[in-house]
Amino acid sequence: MTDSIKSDNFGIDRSVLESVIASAGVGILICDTEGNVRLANDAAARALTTSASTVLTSRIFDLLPLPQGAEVRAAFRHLSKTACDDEAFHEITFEIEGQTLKCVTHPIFTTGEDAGLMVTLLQNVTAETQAARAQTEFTSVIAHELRTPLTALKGSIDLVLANAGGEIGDSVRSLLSISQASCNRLIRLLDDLLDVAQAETGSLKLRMHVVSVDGFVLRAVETLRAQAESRGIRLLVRTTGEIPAVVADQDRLEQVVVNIISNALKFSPEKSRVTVNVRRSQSVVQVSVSDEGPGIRETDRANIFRKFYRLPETGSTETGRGLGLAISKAIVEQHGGRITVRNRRSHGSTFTIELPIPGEDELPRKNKQ
Amino acid sequence: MPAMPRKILIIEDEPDILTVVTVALEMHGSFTTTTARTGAEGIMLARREHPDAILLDVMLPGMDGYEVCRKIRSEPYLAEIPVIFLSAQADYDEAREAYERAKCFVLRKPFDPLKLASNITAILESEGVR
Repeated sequence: MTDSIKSDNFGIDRSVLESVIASAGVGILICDTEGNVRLANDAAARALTTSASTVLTSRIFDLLPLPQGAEVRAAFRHLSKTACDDEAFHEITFEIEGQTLKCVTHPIFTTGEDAGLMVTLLQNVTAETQAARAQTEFTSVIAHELRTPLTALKGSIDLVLANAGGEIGDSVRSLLSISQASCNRLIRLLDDLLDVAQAETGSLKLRMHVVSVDGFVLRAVETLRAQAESRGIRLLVRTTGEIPAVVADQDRLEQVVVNIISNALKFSPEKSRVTVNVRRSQSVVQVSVSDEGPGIRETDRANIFRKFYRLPETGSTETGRGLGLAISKAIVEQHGGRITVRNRRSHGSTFTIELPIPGEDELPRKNKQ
Repeated sequence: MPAMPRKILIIEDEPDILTVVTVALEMHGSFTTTTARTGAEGIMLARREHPDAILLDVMLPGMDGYEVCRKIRSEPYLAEIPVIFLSAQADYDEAREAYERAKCFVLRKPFDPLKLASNITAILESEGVR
């Protein structure tokens, strides 16, 4: 047992608890709701590049770089009031002394004297982050290199179809139209690949303004209304109460809502309903999209936000690229929000986006849209 | 009497894209084109031809599009010519910011060749070029 472990009575066999925590490869900190470290392992001290004794006499917020410390403090406040919920956690990734650390905090839902504790896991993800950055750079280069010949290809096809080289016959037109459609599909795929690569590493450039959530939700709905109506699907929007503005890139969030509604339409039976709900819930604005489709199996729910993951046996004729939800998740997370999916009790599934409501001090005086 | 065709200088190192842009503009009937494959050649042609607008690729070999634009803006005889960047998406945000800084325009690759002429006409009209 190392000196870095200090343990109160946690109600389970102390030696087992200590062995598990001490031998874990990730840093583990157990704190009270005020952030005071009650227990930590060596890996936590190493990750934070400080001594075990410093860790054990500090509050977790003071061990982290300033902005992230403040964010984790706010997360502690929020999580300590959260009811028992597997999805109640806070995750943040930051740099410290040249290392990239992922810091995940969960409340521990117990009763008695152990109630109100938080467990924070610190994982060194430097190698993964560097690999992801290299992949993003590679994707950007490839996307650019492909875009140039595609521009020439698409341009030439468009011009020939517009009779720039003289009149063309029906069969040539029909074949060139296939080339044109495939070209357009390749371009969309490139756009998506670039988006997902940039968003996953947090390098997507967001143009943040104070925006109305209703605005981008309604635009997304209008974009897809004709598609819904063509299959007899009713696309409904319900806004509950007053919705505060958020600080966001509205084009990107519109893209997210379009992705989710378009997914819902894809899995909806004809003449069913897709409902978009907008409401405030404590410190977030929630936008949820519910469909009356078959729902999503648990194994698929766990993977659905991974890139290139495609739901099997959809019976749909749509050809998805398995990127829309990965892009959506990355965009929402870069806004400090989160996206979740659950099955509805009756049938169908609900995707929910949560966006943080900014405090007064976070609202710029200008840029209001 | 039809208006004089507008003279467009296209600076683009990819010959295929040069061809597409040239055909797209000339089939429209209201443009004539001059082409350059490098920034240096483009600046020289701009001085000689004094075009109504310059279509400028961002990623040129050697002197890139931003540098070409900076040089054009620094020469009084050329400074007022509208510059329209042709940007591939990987550098689109950068191009958009450059547009805001240098008061240029951006057309995103792949552009629709059938709308290229009307896009350029709209830009020229917004700049008061007749």
